[in-house]
Amino acid sequence: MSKIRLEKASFQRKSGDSTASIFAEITLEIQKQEIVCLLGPSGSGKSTLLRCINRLGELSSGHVWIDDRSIFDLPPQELRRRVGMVLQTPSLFDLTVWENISYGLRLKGASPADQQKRARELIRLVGLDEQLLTREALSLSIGQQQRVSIARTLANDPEVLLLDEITSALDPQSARIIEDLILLIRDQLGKTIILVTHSMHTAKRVADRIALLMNGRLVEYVETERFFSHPEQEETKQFLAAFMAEEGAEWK
Amino acid sequence: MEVSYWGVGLSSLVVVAVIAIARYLRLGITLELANVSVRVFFQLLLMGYVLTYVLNAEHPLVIFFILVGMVVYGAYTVSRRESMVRRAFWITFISISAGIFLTLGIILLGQVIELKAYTIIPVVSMIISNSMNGVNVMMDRLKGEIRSQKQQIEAALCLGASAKEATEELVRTAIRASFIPTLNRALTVGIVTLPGSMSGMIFAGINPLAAVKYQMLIEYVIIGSAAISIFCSAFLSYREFFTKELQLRE
Repeated sequence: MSKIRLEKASFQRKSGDSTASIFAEITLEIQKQEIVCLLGPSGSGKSTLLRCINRLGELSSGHVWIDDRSIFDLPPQELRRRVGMVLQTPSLFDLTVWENISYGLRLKGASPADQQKRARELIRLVGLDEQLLTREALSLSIGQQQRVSIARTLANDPEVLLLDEITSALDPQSARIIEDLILLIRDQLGKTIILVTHSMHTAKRVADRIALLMNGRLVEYVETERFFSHPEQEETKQFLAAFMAEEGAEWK
Repeated sequence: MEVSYWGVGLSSLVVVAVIAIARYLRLGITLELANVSVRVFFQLLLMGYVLTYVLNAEHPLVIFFILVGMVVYGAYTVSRRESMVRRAFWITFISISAGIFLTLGIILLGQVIELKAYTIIPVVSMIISNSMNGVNVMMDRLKGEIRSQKQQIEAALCLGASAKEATEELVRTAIRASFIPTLNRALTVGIVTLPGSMSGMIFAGINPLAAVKYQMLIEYVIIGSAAISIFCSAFLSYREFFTKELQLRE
């Protein structure tokens, strides 16, 4: 049984009298504890697709199933606790690190002792010093803020983690720390992860499978190794060739 | 002393000067200023004729319909400005009505003032004007806060927050901001500003102490009703920014 299944998922954006198709008829399955990367040029519909999985956006047609249960059968708040999402910018609240991490637990009515225990565990997991818990979250560096943002999402213990370009605002060193963290979350906590990125480096390092989206269509969905060594589709070959022409020498 | 139309015309020269300056500075508000100035003249003229008939009204139903008409026009004016908040007309209508009927109800039940058109209508007009300002600032500020804090709101929604939980702090900020005009007014009344109604009563030869007591009542009613209208509009407005699936509207 697959963990997540998208079936003919489509999204159209309405603007006045006109409608524009952002993505159409996307069907794919993601296995439990798998890391899948949605790759593609800007405007290909990756982030919108991700937002539709936890219903921050609403599909125009099609279905998404989590453990064979339709996301439309779950109340949005329960769905979002089961399917956590980390946004592109850390978007921390103007509170302390501790208050940020335990935000979701407070909403669920967890005791202060439980909140503190969980916040300590999570700040260690994301590789930050426990002493930072009492610091104002917005005083941290962007890289640290993004790690706090991941800890804040993990506090709800979601089964699925959606990561929307979370390394795009970071320097290469911070991005690498986050990539290691993504692998750790899958290996230690057993989460299923869908990652949207522009970075071919990140995709190659962390993803088990890659889904390439072009102009709102799913062009190719294969294992990472195969994606880079033996892509099947002509569009994938062109996409990779364009990337190689730009970054060729630095690409390993 | 009765003011002549010649006197009114003379005072309007100030507004003409303001319009000229606004035009010279290309502020983009020339038409609105001109429109407002003309409307002030005709609205008050109309009100003068209506009041001559209305202030003699005795029947509570007649008074009630006049009050409803005033609230509808106030709500319409705010909703035109706040077109970005869905159902702004109804939110404003309900909020101003709640403020008026609760505070007015208390002072009528306590028989502080009589249920007569000539006492109720002037008091209500002052209440509406302050409640309108409060609701207007509240919606405008909330809209701005929600737009600028979209990321934080979505982050909270992603953590399982309801619309209320995701906007709690922003609603508080908007409420605080919308109280400022009412609080500033109350802080300076009698020292910096002499309210129009009180000045009018003193002009008309009423004992200043009697006018002051009447003004105190009005001030408390204004603060109370503006506060109720602000709370009510805050409670009704924040939901309008979300779909029933807890998604932020575009």
